[in-house]
Amino acid sequence: MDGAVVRFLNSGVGNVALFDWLMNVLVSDYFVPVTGSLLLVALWMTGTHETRPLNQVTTMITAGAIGGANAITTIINGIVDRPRPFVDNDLTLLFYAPTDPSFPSNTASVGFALATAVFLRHRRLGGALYVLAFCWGFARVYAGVHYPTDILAGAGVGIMGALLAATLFRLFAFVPSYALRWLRLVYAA
Amino acid sequence: MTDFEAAYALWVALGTLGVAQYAAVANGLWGIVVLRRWPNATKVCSALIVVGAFAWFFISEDRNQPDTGYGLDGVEQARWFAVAATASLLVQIGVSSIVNHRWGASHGWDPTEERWPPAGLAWLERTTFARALAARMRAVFGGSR
Repeated sequence: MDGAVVRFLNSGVGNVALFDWLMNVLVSDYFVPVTGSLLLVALWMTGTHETRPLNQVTTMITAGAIGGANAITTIINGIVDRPRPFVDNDLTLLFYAPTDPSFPSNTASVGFALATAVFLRHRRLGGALYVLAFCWGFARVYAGVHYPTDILAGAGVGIMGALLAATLFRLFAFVPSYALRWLRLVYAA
Repeated sequence: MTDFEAAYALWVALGTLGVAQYAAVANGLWGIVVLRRWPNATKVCSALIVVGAFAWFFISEDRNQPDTGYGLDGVEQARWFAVAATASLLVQIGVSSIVNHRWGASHGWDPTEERWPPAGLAWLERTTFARALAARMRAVFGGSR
């Protein structure tokens, strides 16, 4: 089933050049991470005297969520050594052939960790980031480098990582507030 | 530094320039806006810089390179993002502090009445980063009175 979905989606490669180019950009290791990080730079500066610190804490939670999700994914990758779909299926690769394990998808975990952490405070921006994370995951399957279940598992890891980071930041709220107090003294926050 | 790392760093630096200037205008942080007198032009230029940087990075060559080879892995990406974004922000702070130097003098803080200058980015609505930091340093090291 998993392989059939990849083969079906990947069979579209080469049919519409513009769509392939869009997928080629989306599937990249750089587009979504840099877009998300630049949005976090903007979020850090956004708000009034009262709301800006909350946005800055959200930025810190997001960084923690991405780091946590990455760590969990790396651990699971080491345990579940699933080969990439192009190893067992006849696919047209739209991406280079990654050598690390397929399950769970690290890109999905990062994308969904970013979206969830932002969504907890900003519904609209978080929603837009969910769409971006979904598109990133779809592009990975279309390009033939992930199974859909890799993406689903990665999304789960990302969402859990973000909720865990938000909980930890709430439990140890004195840490970000202390950091912000110092950063405010040098006009960095 | 490889060509790829240089291109990535330039893309991030330009992206940070556009995003930070747009956010500064949108949030009234005039002290760090380089073209303070032309807020609408700043918004348009910032958006064009961001779109242009993204277009240049992805159109100029195929960026889907193996992260174990010519491309960047996650740690390298994070490192180069931090370096390029910080450098871009420092340049913006430096240039905006110079071009807005005279405007930033009337910042609404009187050191003879208040020992400590206002804290946080909000003060950059009324003064430049250099003036704010200088006032903070003077207060800390006892030279404000």
